Amino acid sequence: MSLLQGLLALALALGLDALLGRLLPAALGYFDPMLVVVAYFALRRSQASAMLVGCAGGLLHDGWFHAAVFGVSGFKKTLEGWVVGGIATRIDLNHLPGRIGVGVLLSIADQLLDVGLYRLLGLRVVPIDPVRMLLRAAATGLLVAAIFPIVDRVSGHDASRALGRKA
Amino acid sequence: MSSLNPARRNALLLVVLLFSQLLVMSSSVRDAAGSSLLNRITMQVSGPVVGLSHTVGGGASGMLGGFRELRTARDENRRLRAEIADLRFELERHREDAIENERLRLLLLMKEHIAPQSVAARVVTASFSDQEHVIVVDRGSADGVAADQPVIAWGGAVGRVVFVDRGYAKIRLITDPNSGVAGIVQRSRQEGMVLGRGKGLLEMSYVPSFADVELGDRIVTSGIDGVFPKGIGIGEVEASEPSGIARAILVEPEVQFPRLEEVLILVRTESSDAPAAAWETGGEP
Repeated sequence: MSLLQGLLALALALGLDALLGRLLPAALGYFDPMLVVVAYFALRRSQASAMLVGCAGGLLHDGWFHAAVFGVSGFKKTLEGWVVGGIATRIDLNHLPGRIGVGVLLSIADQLLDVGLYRLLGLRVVPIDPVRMLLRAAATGLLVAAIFPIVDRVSGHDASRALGRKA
Repeated sequence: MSSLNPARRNALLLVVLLFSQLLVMSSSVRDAAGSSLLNRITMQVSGPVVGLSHTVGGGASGMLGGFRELRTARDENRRLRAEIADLRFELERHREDAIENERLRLLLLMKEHIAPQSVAARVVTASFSDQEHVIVVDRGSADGVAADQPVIAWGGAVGRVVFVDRGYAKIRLITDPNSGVAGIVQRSRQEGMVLGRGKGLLEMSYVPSFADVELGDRIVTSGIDGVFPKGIGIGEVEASEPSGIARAILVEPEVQFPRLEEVLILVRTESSDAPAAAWETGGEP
């Protein structure tokens, strides 16, 4: 993984997070830009890089947006990076349905882990609204699917090369 | 590490990362005041990115706000005209009471209340996820802001400072599910605890079913939580029904949180221990 690419992706995700938090805070309830970065690195780079960007991105998110416990997002996104990165080394998910599926999986896992970790930490938890959870998952899936062609266009990435990536 | 196969290497990396973050979480839970060094480093390292989006967002927000204001100005105008008529009548009614109140208060306390010193701050960014409602403002320890200080806005209580960096402060809003503010019904003086629900409405708990709470009653801070001074507006009762031995009360917050742009952080001073009764009678800070 290029360190610079990782840092740039995290900076962009955090910038988008902060910008939406200022302009459309309700929109952040429907997707998490850091999850898109985790999905991208899990599918295009490696399991290890997905874990590392997940950890760093989660901690950045915690630093700015978490009031209760610092480290919850970092923990979640590291685990998510490992799971999705692991699946992606066994199954080719680098196509449109696969990317949408990864986005959906990441979003659902993120919300469930949120509730689970908060319960474990003895914090008050808002029960999950299934409709809202699915809407969020769909939004994240679409965003993940949309980001790949954009990044490819910007970076001049050849999709066929990605198939030969290593774990 | 290089002799390990990739799957084992990744599993080892996972264990190391998760274990280190468990340590971070446990230290964060123990240190509720929020002096986590890692949190501070995170904010300082990524501060320029957030600062840049704050600047970009400021311009965009101004444009969006302009359009929004134009659209709502007409409705607002109509509503305000009706409100002014009502308020004029009410003002006349309360004028006499206010004079009497002021005289009695001076007699009782033998001094004027001094409002706690406050620091004005702009909202840099916000997060309204289900489990956390947080805003970040552009004032920090360099401006005298410290953890546990109350935050208010035009309209009422906003939240409590939970973490402070040099130039930023993180504020947990009263709508956060893990937030609680001691409240009192302004009319009947019934006390309770106003809790966030992670949604629009707040919940007033620990109120007995026989308590005198009606729709439209105004809830203000009671001051007994040691965070907010007495008398700051929290919201209006939206629903009030007996539920077993308690009363289920939902409160519509006075502050429109997603639209919040500026706040006041009440910096603790000696005089802030005195109840801010001026706010209670005025209804607004």
